[in-house]
Amino acid sequence: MTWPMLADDFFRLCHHDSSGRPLLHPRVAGIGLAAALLGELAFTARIAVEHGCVRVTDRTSPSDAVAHKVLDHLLGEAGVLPIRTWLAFLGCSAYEDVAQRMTRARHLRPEESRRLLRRTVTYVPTDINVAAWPAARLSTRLRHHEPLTDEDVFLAGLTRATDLHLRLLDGAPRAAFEFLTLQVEAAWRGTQELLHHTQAAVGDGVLSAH
Amino acid sequence: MTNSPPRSPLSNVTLALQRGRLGMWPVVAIVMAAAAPLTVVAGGATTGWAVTGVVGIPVAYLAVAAILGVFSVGYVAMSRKIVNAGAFYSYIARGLGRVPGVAASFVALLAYNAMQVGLYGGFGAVLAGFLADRAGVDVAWWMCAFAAWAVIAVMGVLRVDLNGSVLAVLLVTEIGIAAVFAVVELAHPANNEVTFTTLAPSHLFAAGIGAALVTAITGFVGFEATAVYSEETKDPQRTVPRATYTALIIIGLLYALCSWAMSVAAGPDNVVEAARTNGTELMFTLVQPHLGQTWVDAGHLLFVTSLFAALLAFHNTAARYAFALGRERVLPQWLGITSRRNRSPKWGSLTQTLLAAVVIAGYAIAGLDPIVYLFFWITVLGGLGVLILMAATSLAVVAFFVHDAANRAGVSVWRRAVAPTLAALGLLAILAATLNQFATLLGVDATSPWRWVLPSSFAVAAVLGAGWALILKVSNPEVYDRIGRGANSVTPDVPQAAPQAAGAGGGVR
Repeated sequence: MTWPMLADDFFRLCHHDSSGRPLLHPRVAGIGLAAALLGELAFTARIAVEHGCVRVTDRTSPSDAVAHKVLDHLLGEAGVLPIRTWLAFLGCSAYEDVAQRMTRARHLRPEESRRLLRRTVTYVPTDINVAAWPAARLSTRLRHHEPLTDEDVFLAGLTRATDLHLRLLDGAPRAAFEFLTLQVEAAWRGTQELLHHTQAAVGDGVLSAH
Repeated sequence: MTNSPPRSPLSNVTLALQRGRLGMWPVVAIVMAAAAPLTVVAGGATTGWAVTGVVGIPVAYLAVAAILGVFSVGYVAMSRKIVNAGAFYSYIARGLGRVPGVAASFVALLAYNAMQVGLYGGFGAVLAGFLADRAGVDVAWWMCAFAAWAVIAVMGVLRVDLNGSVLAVLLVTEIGIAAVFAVVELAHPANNEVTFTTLAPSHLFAAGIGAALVTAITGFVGFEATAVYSEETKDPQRTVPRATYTALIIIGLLYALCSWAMSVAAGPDNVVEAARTNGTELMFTLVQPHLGQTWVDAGHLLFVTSLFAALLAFHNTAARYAFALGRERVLPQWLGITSRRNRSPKWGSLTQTLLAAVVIAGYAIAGLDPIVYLFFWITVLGGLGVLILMAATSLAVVAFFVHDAANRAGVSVWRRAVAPTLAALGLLAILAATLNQFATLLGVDATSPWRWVLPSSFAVAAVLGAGWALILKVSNPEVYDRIGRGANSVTPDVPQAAPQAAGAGGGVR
């Protein structure tokens, strides 16, 4: 079975497909990508997300290096920690981890630029069609009320948790938004709580004054 | 620590998340910047004398600091047990019920918006006066107010916060200059006699004390924000209470010292008259003969920056309240939309901005005095709202710990019952005195309709909120069930896990 690269797809969703310009605040992108990385482990039955906590259920090493690293972190903790702690912890490194993974797979090309004396790295997609595909797929299916796979429901749920869905469904009729809500509410149980906590973490980030 | 998940003492995750967390002093600095010491001393106390005619304002600051200290005992104890601990209505929803919770949230929206909008009157008038005096530029107060308004509008939506070190430097300079002015005033007392008249406890039982106390409470609003930072501090169990008490002590002593010093320099019998003549210039007028113009100019500039910092802080508070309620779907959902690039409560911020524009424009068109009718009346109205919220929160703390045996573990009787009961009694007594003397507070005739129109705005807000809660109970039970949980309303309420799940580093506790 090939590894479900959900974090790659969420990375594509939160960046402009041709320029690679970020569409989300770095902290919010970090939380979303952390959730996507946990989602990868949930879909491959390595972890269970329930009662607000993340529990490892299968210690088999994932084939993907980044997922391996995340699972190692989870195994390294003596106890079971809350989802929110993991989102905060993984959120610090998820962006770089996923960008590096996609760079190694030649999906992205890092471009350095200097603006206002600050060096910034933009990850430019190497193939605009691949980069645009997740957004196009989700947007079309949601607008046409077509059924989504469990993985796509999870991705759509992440866009909703980060308010990216407003861009994804820009100009779409109300029914498309309602369809998205219905889909996400019926998301696979293994990821439902993860989506809720991601949305709560994003909201708390806005409320925290720091 | 009873409800912490099991963890190893050397957890990598714990250590990583603890990096970059706040210690006590940064939290003190942030909340004191919102309380804006110079704004209160130069603006609040002087206008308080002028409008209410009550002499005992300095002792009122001390009394309020003491009562708020007692209030904080229960407030801080409960803040560790609930999510969305930055908002009073969360305490009230959990302790007293969802209907009072929504009523409180509406009161809070009105109160914090009033605090913010009222400050524009102070900012506009003080800056316009300074420009006219020192630069010879004649601008209307509302032009200055709108200039600040435009900057705040942009900063709010882009989530540009004043840099922590900038705030700290401004704050320390503000306190320093206020202290220097106080020393100079005390060195030059009226009639060559330093009296303690305005600090006499007897004022606390004199006529008009309600007006003085609510004026003082208005000066403290903002200190309650320490609870917002609980998830971002190194050790929430200790940092938050310490920061709260430290801020209260510094603020209380500073306000009392500076206002007492002014009363000494002007003479206790003369201070009301002097405040009526000089307005917000009183403090500067008193020190001008003894200090150089540079000092006075620096004081004025800091007065303006302090007003600005307070404007921004209260703008963010009001915007976040609206955002949290939108997130809970108690208010329209669009208020809970985040700005994707800036992580700001975009629509909450824009709504507050719009409201402020309408009020400033209204005052400008009506030609009302910005200091008395906008700065003083409206911020004191906000102070009254926060007083109502704090009284209700104290009752909520008592009720919360009575109902919930699981939460009582490790919380002493003093913290969960005695202190909040004392605080509730004290705050309710102030509330009763204030409502009784509202005409004095506003400086209007005992028959003026304003004495009941302004306070009853909170009754209207509370009734609307309670009614809305009852409608939600029938029409949208799912939203109703989660009232008071702020951004966490989307997550299932797991009583044991909820407090840890509240913030970025919940597991660290």
